[in-house]
Amino acid sequence: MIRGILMMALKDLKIRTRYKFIWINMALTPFFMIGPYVLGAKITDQKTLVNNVLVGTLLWYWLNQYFFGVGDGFAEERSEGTLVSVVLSPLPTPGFLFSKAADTFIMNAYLTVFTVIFFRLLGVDITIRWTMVALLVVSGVYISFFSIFFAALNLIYRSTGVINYTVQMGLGLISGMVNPVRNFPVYLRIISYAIPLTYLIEAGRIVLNEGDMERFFGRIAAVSAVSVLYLILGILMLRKAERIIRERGEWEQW
Amino acid sequence: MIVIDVSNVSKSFNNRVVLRKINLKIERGEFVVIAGPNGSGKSTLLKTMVGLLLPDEGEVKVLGFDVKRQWKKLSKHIGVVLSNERSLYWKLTAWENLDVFGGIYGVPRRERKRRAEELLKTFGIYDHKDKLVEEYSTGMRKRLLLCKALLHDPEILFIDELLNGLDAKAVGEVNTFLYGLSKSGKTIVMVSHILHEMRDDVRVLLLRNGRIEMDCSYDEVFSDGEVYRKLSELVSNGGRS
Repeated sequence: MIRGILMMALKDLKIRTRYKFIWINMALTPFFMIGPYVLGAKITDQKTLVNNVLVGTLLWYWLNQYFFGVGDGFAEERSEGTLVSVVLSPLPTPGFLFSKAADTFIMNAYLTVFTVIFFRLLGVDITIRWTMVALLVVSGVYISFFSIFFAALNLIYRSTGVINYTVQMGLGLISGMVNPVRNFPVYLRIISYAIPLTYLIEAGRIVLNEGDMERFFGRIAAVSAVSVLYLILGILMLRKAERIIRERGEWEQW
Repeated sequence: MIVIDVSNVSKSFNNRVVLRKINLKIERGEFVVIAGPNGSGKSTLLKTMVGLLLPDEGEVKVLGFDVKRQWKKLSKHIGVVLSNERSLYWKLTAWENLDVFGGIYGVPRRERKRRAEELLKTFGIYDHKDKLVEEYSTGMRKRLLLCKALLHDPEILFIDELLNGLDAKAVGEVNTFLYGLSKSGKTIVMVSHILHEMRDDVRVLLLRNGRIEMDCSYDEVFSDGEVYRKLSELVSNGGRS
């Protein structure tokens, strides 16, 4: 299965090399998307605030990419025309989504490098720490799990794909992308802590602001538990979706 | 040795019965053509055999695998040629497509390189291996679809309407190749309503209204006037050219 996952991820990268403008787009768009938030925070001259907004919006952008790459993975392959070929292959559907996750991780790493460069050129003081790099890797894994859950939802209820972007925006807001979750009303906080991104943003803020590492590892433990739960749910839902689609003969419509 | 065993398979879509208690046994090395008019259930039957579709009733066993539960395990042992030309990556070259699909099917790197080269040469597209599939003609894409399906050396090849859109010469070439494959022990199950250029011992199954209306050899079709008349009635483009 590992070989299949790698081959599919390489395939996506290869296809992307045939569209040169995607690379320019991926280098610039994240900066344009999160720049107004970060540069807005910079007006206050408070480094902590800038760090908080930067890590929140950057991780939210990562989630966006995973929702498009993994969450919409079936739709993307369908528009290519190759979904049935993949479905008929020995690669299981979770494996297919993992390949999309691997590809998205590479793209996220690429866009992060450029985003950091652009911010530094504009005078935003970003200190690169290995703990932050490690957190980005962990974030990639756990947001993938969450996106697999969303992909399964999309497979069962196709209409959810239409509100993909709205969901992403909502998740960003509720996860404390700009305003930390502790400032939310209690009922909203309950929803926030059901989203893995919330813990990752909090962990990122601890790292960037050189906070308490015990709290950091607490957040990592919590996000691990929540994300694994989403992965299990996602895989169970994928199985259910596959059975329904095979009963209805709908793979070709997908 | 029976490699495909379809027993009492029925399938309906939105209260429309597409397959009615189909029973079918196919032996290793047989070349079976499933023919019939549009909507007769040909493709539905093929899809139940490869696992893409679950029957409402009945069982399908292919190479001893229960297709309902073990379709992913089965997939390594079968090749499927879909009618859709877009089931290839058009932004990749032929060579890259075979490399990707060979990798997914677990064919070791060196082996898939050797097999890809051999198949592309057999189907006369080796010189175009570095062209993007989007630059290919329909005929070339169909040949590449066959290469893709054969890359992992499957025991059974399922083919859905591959011959549509091919000229008479290409139809003859593909049929000759497939016939050779069946003689080497591979089982071929092909959905088609083009029955030109078939060999006499090819088994022809004729479906109508979800039932197998006829099950005979190609030779019998043309030696029996009554059978031929029936076939001509049922299948558009039927008959020997």
